[in-house]
Amino acid sequence: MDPNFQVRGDLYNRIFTSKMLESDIWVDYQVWNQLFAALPDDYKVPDMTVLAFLSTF
Amino acid sequence: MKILLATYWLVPHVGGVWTFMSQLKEQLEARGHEVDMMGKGPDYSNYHLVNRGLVLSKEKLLPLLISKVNALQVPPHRLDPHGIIRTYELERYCMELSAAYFGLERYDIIHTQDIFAARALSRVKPKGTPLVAHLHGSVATELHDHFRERPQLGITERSAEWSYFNAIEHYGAVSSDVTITANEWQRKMLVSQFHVSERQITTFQYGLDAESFWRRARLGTPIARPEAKKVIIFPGRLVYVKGIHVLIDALHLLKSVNQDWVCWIVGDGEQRHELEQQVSRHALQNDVRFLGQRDDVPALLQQADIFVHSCIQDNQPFSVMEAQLAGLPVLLSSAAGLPEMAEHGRTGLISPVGDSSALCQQIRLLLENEPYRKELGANAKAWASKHWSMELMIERLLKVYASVITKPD
Repeated sequence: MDPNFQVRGDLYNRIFTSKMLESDIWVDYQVWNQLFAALPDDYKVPDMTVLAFLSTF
Repeated sequence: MKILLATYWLVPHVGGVWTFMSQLKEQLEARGHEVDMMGKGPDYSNYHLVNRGLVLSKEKLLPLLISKVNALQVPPHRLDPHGIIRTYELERYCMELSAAYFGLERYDIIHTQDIFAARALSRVKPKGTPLVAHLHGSVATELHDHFRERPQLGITERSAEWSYFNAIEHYGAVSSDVTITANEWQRKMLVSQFHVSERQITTFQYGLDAESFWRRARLGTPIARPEAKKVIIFPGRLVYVKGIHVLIDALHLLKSVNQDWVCWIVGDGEQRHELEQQVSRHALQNDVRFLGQRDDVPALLQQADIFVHSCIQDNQPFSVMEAQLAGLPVLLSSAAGLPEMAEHGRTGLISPVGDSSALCQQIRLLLENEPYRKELGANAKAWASKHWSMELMIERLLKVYASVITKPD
């Protein structure tokens, strides 16, 4: 496979709290597939545990 | 064991965390363990596994991360107008994704070196892999001081940015199986200010590789001490928190009552020009030398008579440990973890943070009382040889590793 093969970022929406489609963002398939496969099932960005304090403002 | 040492900060880097990580790697490998080191690349553009030559550019990650974070507006712009929270969080997510990319399955232990790396790797590591978090100072306290010193930023105790550093300090410190501090100052602060359980924390001091120190000392230095003058030495990065401006003010006061000295400032940093100007303003150009960043500090310490560390905040600096091992009396400020490094009147003298007059009096006392100066230095050397034992630190660390590996779920 072409090492620079690009795919839509939306393919990795599972790890993002925002599910908004970002069809104009393309990412490196090899890099994102490799890291995506290694992430725990409950991994999410942003880290709302650390950012929970924002709700008090 | 296969061990990953990881930091959110730059590696390699001039500073204590890198020194600590490098020494630890060497010591653990000498005992048959395999050690990898992860950190931010020296030009900030990537994360890398330094010794394996694996690199992941942040450019591969940031466009998608930024678009997702922007879409959610967390944190909202009104709460983070300077983008401080957003910048730190995006950096942390880059570290998390990079660690996942490099693969964490192969490690028996992950040993992080700061709160960001602790939180980051706790989120992406395999569930069964133990995490040990070593904290080498308080990021929240340093950033709060930074905000206080820059009122023009408009960040106060009621600001979201202020609270963010409290939150990350807390979650970084509680993300591990065990959190290690080098002194009681940090342990107490984690418990009282950042609500970390006492049970989470283990405290033991750093170790110094004495053999390597003496090997480097024997290499010598081309810098010679002036005849008939005592040498006051300050090795450290030239940044505000190191409090070199306090030392220069003390030397200005000292010069009117005693001229039997020169001062060597060894190191470099963003404050160098400002400090050189301060020296000129006080007409101390012939008394204070800026020697720049050097590799021969152990040999320079052999030439010196008095060591000063007048910092505003510091944890447990290697420079103090080395000076004590070299047999110098140490003059320390009362900042943070420093008072735990010397016994006032026996191995050194301690003065209040920022008090140049008290520091001036202490330098003068040691310049003018040679027997007392030599006694403090000899006491410091004897104490340092035992207290800063590298063997002891590694033994304690391996016990921590063993305790988390065998810990029941």
